Amino acid sequence: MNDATENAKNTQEIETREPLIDVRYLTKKFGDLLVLDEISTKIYAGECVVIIGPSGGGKSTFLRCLNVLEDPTAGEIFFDGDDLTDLKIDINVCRQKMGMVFQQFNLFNNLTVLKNITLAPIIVGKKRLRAAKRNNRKMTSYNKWLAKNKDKIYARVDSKIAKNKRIIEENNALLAPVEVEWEKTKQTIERKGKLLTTYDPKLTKQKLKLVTKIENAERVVDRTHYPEPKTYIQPEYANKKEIVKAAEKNAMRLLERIGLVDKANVYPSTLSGGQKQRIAIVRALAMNPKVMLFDEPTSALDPEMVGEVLDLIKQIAEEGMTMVIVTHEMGFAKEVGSRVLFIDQGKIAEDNTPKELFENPQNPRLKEFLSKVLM
Amino acid sequence: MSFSETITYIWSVRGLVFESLGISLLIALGAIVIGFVIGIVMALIRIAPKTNVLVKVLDKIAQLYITVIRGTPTMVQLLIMYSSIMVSFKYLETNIAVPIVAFGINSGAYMAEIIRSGINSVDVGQIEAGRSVGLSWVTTMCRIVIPQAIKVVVPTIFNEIIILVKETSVVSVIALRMGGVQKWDLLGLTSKMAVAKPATYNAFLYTAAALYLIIVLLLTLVQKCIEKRMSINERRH
Repeated sequence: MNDATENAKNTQEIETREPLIDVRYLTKKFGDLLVLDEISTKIYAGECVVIIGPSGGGKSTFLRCLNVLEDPTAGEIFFDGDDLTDLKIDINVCRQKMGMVFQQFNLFNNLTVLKNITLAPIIVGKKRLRAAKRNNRKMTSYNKWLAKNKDKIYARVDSKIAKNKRIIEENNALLAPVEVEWEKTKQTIERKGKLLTTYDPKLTKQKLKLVTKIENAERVVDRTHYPEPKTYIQPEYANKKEIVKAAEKNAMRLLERIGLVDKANVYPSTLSGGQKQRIAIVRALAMNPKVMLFDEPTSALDPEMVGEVLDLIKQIAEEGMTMVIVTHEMGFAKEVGSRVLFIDQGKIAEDNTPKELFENPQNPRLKEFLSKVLM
Repeated sequence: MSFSETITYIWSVRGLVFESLGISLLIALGAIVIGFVIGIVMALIRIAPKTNVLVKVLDKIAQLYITVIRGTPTMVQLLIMYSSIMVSFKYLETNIAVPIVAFGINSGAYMAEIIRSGINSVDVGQIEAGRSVGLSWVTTMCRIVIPQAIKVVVPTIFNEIIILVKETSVVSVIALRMGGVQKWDLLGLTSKMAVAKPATYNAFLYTAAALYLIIVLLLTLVQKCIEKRMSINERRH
């Protein structure tokens, strides 16, 4: 009984916590082919989510959609409070907080191992330094200007919000009758044994147009804020040399951890697959990401090298890193995963703890899949 | 005119010969630099994801540019540049910019296609990896993809450079001036000598051919060195 209450408490705790990644109705189509079909899931900080499923089921596409390497057709992905599917946000800044490891390693062939690891931290560090300096330089004059024109600017913001709210109201009023009409034209037809619902195309178009207008106006309302005075930003490092030094030190620390310090100045083409993949993992770690995405990290490796890579991933998981892993290694999934998703035909067919999922599968497709894989 | 006399005569005007060679090389070098820059920019525009209207428009312009430049003869382009577009340059005391720009624009179109093919040959995973660590598209291209693409297309680029060096002989159809004094390129000098001393015409042709050949041989040497330097990140076979 005690256990049960504790469990309930834990689940409640998890429910109330803000998810790190919140995927809502994610849909991806390649032409007419539906790869992901309205997938919704939440990934919390500290979780290690393992995704399994038959090939062609959409698991890799799902992972690649998480950091928008594939543009989703529809749906939303919230990561750390930002909607990644929104074209207005700076996707590069979001991606800096998400590490990704690929099946084919994808180390930069023209750079040495050390430069592979330090390239992004140095570029990003310099960018931040420049931004901080620019901010600090303009701070005083901007704040003076803002204080002087405060009323005017605030009034402008107010009128912009009011205008867009009016647009929403007007279009909502227009939308209501159209929607009623649209519902009336609903027809269900049967084709190739499947039931299809169709509507009048003209009305659908009209409805979509209005909905887009409303959505756009809502987005503007969401995004319009009163301008705030700039505050002093303390740059992390004083100059570019320090950034390079810190990045190199961090890279050497990471290389030492995987025991490849002596490979720091060689090019990736001289390394074995296992070494490449471990360096790729370290390269992602060097950005201090909040979440790591692994896209079949061991599928392109020789069997004898799979172990070393999985060990490293396990270590990182134990340190509490949030991870999403697509894999075919069922033993590994069972051991490391705190949650397993079974993705089949573009849908999450089963979502459970590894123990439950492997020992007591509910979905018939999952049963079939496991019987094939675990043989 | 005997053979030795011809040689002596050519030797006596060696200053003019080397000067004309220098002018040919100057035009070629300027054109290569301009062509390379235009080529990289055009290739990036052609390859960029067509996400906004600006890129789409630029892409159309790049396509038009490449089609027109590759579809018309170099000499026609040079003459149009000389007597129509940069016509105010024509009367300047130093009008060597005309052929440099003309050949640069010409070479840019070819370079664009060469570099585009190089970029296409780089594994798309490299771009994905660059984007996944949070680099912007342009940074990924400049720091990761283009260095790898250039390595692939070095032989083709040198092909283009060699063709360009030899094609600068077309410049003999226009009147070049530097500092108000008329100058000739290597082939132009030959024509000039044909008028001044018709008996040496053939000898000058052979001299020009030999000098072009030497330049191309040197370029081939440079190409070899560059290829060797660039292959340090490859596994030796």
